[in-house]
Amino acid sequence: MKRWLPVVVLIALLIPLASAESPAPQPTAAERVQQFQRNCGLIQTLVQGGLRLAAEEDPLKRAECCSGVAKRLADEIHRAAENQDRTRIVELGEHLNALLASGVAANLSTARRQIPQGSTLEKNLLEIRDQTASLVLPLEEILHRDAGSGGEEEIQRTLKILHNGRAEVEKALDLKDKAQTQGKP
Amino acid sequence: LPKYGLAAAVLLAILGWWGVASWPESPVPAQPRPAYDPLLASVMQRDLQLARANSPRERIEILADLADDLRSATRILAQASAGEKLTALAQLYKQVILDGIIQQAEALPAAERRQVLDPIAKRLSRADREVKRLVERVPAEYTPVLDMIAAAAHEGNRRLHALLREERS
Repeated sequence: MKRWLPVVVLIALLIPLASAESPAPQPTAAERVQQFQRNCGLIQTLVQGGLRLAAEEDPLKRAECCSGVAKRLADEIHRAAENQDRTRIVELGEHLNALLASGVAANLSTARRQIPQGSTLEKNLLEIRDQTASLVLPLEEILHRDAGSGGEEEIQRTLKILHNGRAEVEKALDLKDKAQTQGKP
Repeated sequence: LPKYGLAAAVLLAILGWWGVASWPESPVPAQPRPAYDPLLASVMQRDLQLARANSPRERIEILADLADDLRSATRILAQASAGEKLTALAQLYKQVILDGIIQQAEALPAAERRQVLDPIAKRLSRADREVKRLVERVPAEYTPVLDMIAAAAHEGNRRLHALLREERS
């Protein structure tokens, strides 16, 4: 067996190399300048949002803050769709999906466990959930239409991840599902 | 044992043959994915980390990373003559240091201060020195932008040291 070991190890090392995707391309200096000119306002919103998140302990307010940033991203995706800028739709779609799942949904879920059912704060929870979901739905409709006309795979994928992000937000307050997935009674 | 070795070799040979056979003869070049904005991606990532962070210590470290992202982007963009909007980036850097890091440092339990704040103070001191050196290598119109960054790093470092002195006394 020992004499086969180097061969097995070598092949095991080569397989991931052969199947690895090429690294994400890096923009040139000129492209970075263009990107910065275009994204400066968005970056400001994100940094201000980050500062608010750092100062906030309350998961409900954190969810609200993430929802505000999500609105800004959704507006930018709208604009990109109007300009038929598919690259930008895909790029921002990925960011929006991450924010919906790890920002809004995760904090809503934490807040749900702390806020008693039927309380005034529960109303706020529901409001944030619904407001956020309502940001994504019109985007899905636009992208669905665009994907239908162009049929591009990238837009289909963005549509799918936005749909999943919205679903995460929608089910974030469902205590029963959470308890089941965590193996609780 | 040699039987197992042989079996492994045969299996690998089959897998290898299958891999080669299924390799396209003339691979269609994949459409290169356009390069996304790395600054936007990193700031987004920091926001997601801050959305999950549960302690002042975690938040300070994420904010220090965010400050580094902004400073590093300012360096690249100043060298590429990005225009007057760069001032906005320097202002954000200042805000992250003075409204973010310092505020969280004040909320840090006294027992944790030295361990957490010492490395951040060193990072700020290094940032201050690096930015001052950079001034000679960028167009003169960006000097005020870099000065603003160096001043914010210097002030942040000074305030962190003041907090560390408070902890000692």
